[in-house]
Amino acid sequence: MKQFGPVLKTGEIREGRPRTLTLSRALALSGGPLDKPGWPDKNLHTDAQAAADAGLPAIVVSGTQWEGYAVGLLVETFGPAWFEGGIIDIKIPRSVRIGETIRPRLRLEEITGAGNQQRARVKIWCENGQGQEVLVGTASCAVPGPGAGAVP
Amino acid sequence: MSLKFAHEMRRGDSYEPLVFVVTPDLNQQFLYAVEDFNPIFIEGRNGKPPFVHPVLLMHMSPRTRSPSYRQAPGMGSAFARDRSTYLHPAYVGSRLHVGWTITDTYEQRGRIYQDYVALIRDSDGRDILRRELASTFFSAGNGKSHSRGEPS
Repeated sequence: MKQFGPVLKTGEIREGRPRTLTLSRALALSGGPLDKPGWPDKNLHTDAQAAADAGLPAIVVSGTQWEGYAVGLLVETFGPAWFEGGIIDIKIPRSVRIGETIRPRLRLEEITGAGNQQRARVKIWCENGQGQEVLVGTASCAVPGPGAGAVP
Repeated sequence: MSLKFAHEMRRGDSYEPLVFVVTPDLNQQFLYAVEDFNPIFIEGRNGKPPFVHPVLLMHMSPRTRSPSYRQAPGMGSAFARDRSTYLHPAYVGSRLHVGWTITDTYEQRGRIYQDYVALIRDSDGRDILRRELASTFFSAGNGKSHSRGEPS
C-alpha cells in the first residue's frame, strides 16, 4: 500500500492544519452551488437574519464543515483505504462561529486483528482556538499487512 | 413516500430520494470550503476521475435534502449522534442517489428523538456512504439547540 504520511505509532497524535472558518468558506459549504440563481441560499449557516429568526445572535457554521476537516485528516492518514470501510462516529459538543480557528487531531489508540485483517482505531477530535473540543469521536480503518502497531 | 411532517415520521417511513451529479465545479467548491487540496480529490488515479470529497457526501446526506422533507412550523431539528461508514469511493462526474429511512422514534426527557439511515449509492448500485444519524426536535427560537442543526 502506498504510504500517505509519516508512520504513526500507538499513542501518537497527528495534527491537521488549523483553519479559520471565514464567511466565504461557510458560504461555499452551505450556500448551495455557486451557479444557482439567487446564490447563496439563506439559512442559519449563511444569513444573519435567518439566524436571528431561529433565535441565534449570529450565524453558526455547519458542523459538517469541521467534520470535513476531521475526515480529511483521516484520508491523509489512511489514504484510499479510508473509502473501503472507514468508520467515524462523532458528536459535536459546541457550535462554532465565523472567524474561529479549528484544528483536527487524531491519536492512534490500537491496532486490532492480524495479517491482512488489521484495523486501526483512533480517537479523533477538533479544537477551537481556546482548546475547547468542538468535535469528539472515534474512527477506524483497515490497514495493510505487516507493520502491526503502526499505520501509514 | 410520506407527506407527514418530520416529527410525525415513524419507524420504516422513508423520504423521497434525491439524485444529484457531482460536477468538477461542485467538488472543487467543497474543497475550497474545507481548504483541503489533497491530490486524491483533484487528480484522477489509476485511470479514474478524482474522488468526491467526503464533506460533499456528508453535506448531501441529511434528510433535509429530500424533496419530501417537511418541517412543522415553529420546529427545528438537530443531530445528536452521527456514525458514517465509507464503503466505496465516489468519483467526480458520477450521479449519486440518496435515500433516507427512519429506523427508530422515541422520547427522552420530553423530547422527540428519531434515528434514521441515509444511504448514498452510485449509478452502478454500489453503496458509497451509509450514515446512521440520531436527531432531535426543538422549538424554533431555542438557540441552544442549534449546535448541530440539520441543514436547511
